[in-house]
Amino acid sequence: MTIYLIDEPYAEVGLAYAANDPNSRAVLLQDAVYLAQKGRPQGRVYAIGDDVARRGLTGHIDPSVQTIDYGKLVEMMETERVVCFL
Amino acid sequence: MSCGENLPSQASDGRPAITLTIEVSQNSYMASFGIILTGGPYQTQRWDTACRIADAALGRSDRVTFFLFLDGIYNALGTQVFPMLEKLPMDSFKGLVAKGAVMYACETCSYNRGLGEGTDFYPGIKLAGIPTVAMMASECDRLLTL
Repeated sequence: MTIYLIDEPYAEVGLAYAANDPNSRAVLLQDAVYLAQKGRPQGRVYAIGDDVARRGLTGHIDPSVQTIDYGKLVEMMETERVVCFL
Repeated sequence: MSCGENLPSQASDGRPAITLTIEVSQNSYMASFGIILTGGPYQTQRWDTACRIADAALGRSDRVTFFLFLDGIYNALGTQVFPMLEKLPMDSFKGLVAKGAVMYACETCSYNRGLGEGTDFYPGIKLAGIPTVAMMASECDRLLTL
């Protein structure tokens, strides 16, 4: 499995790479969490909960997106390949 | 581990030669994270994200090594002032150093900006060159660029 860490300004590119990787998990950080809004994400997408809350997007996130904290992100990165689009 | 024992102590212009040094902890750890941070404080969120990831990693007994690069070296500045903030960005980095993070700052980036170890940076910051980045990248399990 590969973890794609995604932020603007490369978010669309990163999500496209992740969408073409059947074993991917895309994690949206910082301003990329705007792309987690309802109707936008495709594939297995996570978003950092603190970054969602900081931008007032709580309640506006697509139900398919799982919000995680940094501890969970680190746990995922410990065992999986990581690709940065930050 | 030190790789610089046989290097000259001074560069041709009289400045101290860059010594390639990577500290290897004797403690057991789960994974090692290398973080190259190019964003300064009071600029973007990147320094904060880097600190939060590092703090979570240290909390899980992972090893964390920072290389502060380009404007990222301003995170090492010990004279930061921002009266409206109870906790300054440098306080987060100091906390990480206290928890065992290794904090390198690019020597050339610092020199070019008129900053130096021991005068402008808080304790725990080590000046290092690009070879240290290469060593860090080759030795860490996960490399993040922020």
